Amino acid sequence: MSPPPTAGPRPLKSRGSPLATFVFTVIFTAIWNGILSVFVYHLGRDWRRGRGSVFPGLCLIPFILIGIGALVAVVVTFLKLFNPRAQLVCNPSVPLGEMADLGWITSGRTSRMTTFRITLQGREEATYRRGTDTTTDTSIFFKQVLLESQNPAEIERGRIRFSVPETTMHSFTSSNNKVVWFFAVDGEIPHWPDMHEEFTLEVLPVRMGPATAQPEGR
Amino acid sequence: MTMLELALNDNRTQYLPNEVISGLASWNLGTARPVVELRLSWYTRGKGTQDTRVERKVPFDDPRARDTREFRLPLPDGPYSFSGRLISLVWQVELVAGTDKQTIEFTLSPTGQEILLAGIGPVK
Repeated sequence: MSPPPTAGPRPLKSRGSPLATFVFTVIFTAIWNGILSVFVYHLGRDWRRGRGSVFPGLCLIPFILIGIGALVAVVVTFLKLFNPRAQLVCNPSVPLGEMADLGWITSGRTSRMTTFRITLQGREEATYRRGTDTTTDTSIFFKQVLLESQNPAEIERGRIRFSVPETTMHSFTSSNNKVVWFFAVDGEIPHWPDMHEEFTLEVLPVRMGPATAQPEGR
Repeated sequence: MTMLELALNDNRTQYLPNEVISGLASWNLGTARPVVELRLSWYTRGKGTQDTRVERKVPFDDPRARDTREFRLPLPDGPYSFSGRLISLVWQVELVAGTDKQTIEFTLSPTGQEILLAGIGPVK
């Protein structure tokens, strides 16, 4: 059902990119605030002419707050473009219970990070439809800190060994339900948005002997 | 009246990956049907939309209207039976004759027992 463990370590792919997040946030903010500005303009015009009423203004408040939040998000995601980046090197697929090496290299202004942390996490992801919306709920079921360091040299690069407990669940993907394993890399940066990146790891079932029996219905 | 019966050897409901699941399938269909088969499958239940996958279909040769057959099916190495805050995965073996079916659920994992994922909290 799953591919065999690969021969050697290789760079893991980061889930999502800061640039894509920034572009998405800018587009969302432009559309949201663009539409909202029409209503705010008409409301303001009515108030200036002395025909304004309280109720439409109250109705607009939640939408205005979301618009302000989106503007803040644009600033934050823009600042994150200048965050240090991490590259993780590991076997992309690791069987349950087996030891594996994880290496990392950070680039950019790594000296700004005061704390660097790598955690191994397992997460359930369940997708369902509610009305016309498709929603995905997630729940972390496993979290283990593999590294937490304030040492600049260790923040810059290093290598550790880890394993996924044999008694837990391997990676699982179907159309609407998933069990996802990933490394979360977090860097704390004073007076600046923190660094956060995720790298998917495929966790395989426990390695066992191959099946020899053939299906048989007599 | 259609009768389908399915029994696993020793009434086992816990299996290891790559083990063989075996038992007896019996049916009384009134009239013979072209296809009577066993299906090995899993499905999800929980908060997400249900996913189902038939891993293996094994038709019985020349099924008579009333018959009893032995079966042996090798199990795959996964996915394991598990249960978490949002998702459960359940294995089953089904005896299917047209729209009639008889099902037995079982667990598949390295311990034979369902793996319990202890949720440690929702994530935004």
